[in-house]
Amino acid sequence: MDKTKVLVVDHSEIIRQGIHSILKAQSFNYEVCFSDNTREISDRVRSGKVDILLVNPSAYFDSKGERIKLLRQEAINFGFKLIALVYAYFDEQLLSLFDDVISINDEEEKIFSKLEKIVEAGNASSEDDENANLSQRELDVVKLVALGKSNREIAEELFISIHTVISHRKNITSKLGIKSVSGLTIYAVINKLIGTDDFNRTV
Amino acid sequence: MMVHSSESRNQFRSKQRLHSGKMDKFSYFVKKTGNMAHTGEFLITGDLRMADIIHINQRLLLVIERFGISLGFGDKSIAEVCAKHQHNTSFVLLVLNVFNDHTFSVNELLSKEYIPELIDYLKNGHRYFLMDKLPYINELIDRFIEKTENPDTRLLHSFFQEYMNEVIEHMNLEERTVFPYILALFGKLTGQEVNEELLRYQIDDFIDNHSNIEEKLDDLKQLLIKHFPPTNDRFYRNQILFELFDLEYDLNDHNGLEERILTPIVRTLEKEAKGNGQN
Repeated sequence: MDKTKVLVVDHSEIIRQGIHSILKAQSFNYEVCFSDNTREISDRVRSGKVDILLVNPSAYFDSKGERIKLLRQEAINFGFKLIALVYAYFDEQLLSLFDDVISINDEEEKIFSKLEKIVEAGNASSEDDENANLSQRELDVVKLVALGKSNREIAEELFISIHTVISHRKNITSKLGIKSVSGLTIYAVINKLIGTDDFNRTV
Repeated sequence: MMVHSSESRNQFRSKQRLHSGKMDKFSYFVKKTGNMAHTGEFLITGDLRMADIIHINQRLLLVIERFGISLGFGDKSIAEVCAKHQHNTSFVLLVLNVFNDHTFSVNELLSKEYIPELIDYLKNGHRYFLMDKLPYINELIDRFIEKTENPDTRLLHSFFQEYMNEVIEHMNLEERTVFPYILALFGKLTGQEVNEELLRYQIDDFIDNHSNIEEKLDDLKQLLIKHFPPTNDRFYRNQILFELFDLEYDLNDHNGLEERILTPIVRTLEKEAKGNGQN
């Protein structure tokens, strides 16, 4: 698995080193880089080399929180997660712009589990993206086709007409470029719609 | 067999003749066509050197192989090589030209005399697919599964087995029913003793399509190109794809031969047989 790259933005060397040693102690696939230079941070997130930006909001603070909003926008555009690293009071509304908040008082374990949760959520959403071109209904149909169900059975199970099942199947084929049932079954396994055991039963 | 109106699409086009003696013209073609799989811009004639046409279109290697001609023919012309192997040169030229140029017009070149050689040729094609090509791709898939660390890729093995079984079934059907029927029809018209039982068919009974087979081949390409996530191994994944594209092209050529040459000749034979029956 690729390393998750965490970029830590904080003025304090002690805090930065502290974060580093906590992640290192967990011996996970993290790569921590530090920066104080907001310009450099922008360049790095834009190059897509950051997965998690762990940032002290005070480094980006202005009275209206505009710079944090810009950061939030960049996080969406460049696909990284934004976590606040706080050791002072910040407005709830401002903190709501972050994906999660780590407090300087958090236990090592808690910090780690928060990061892990964020990473997992990131992986899950990228899988969703792969399937993004199939609607939930179409995914349901792929799953049932892969399990070897006939159009009639699928219609009954999903409470839709056979005609609708057929039109879903046409759309699925044109979106995925896969026509055969065995091909769709492999697609379903790759995308975790069904398990490998199900595959062996159908084929 | 798949029947298209491909003949109607064919028109006579002005062909450029190539002479083996004129190397300047030959190098011009090589330069122009480079390493492209099919060139389709020149007419292959018996006086050309066998070695030269392979340099122009390497896919013709497959044709030569199916005629049982081994490489190592030196500077012999196509006609000389055919004579050595006791092949009908005009039939060999017909097949070479159809493979080389998909728009090559065959209408006036078909002859019922070609039937036995044509059936042999098609059987050799089947042998190539079933004994060489498909097992080779199967092996590549197994190597890919072994090299890459994604357990989902193991599904490709069973998928390809299923595909192979369909191809085997299709080709076996042709060898068991279609070819014997055609040979019996040919035999009857050339005055041989034939098993009348075999004559109860019509070529149209066999005309189905290869759509299931094509569908699976296409799905396999899509899965490898689009749907399997990036794998540790890229080399075998690419090799499998190269082979699948090549197989698809080759199967199309093979089916094209059945549609454009075999089926029309058999239709003529059927008409002839019917005419004889009435007389």
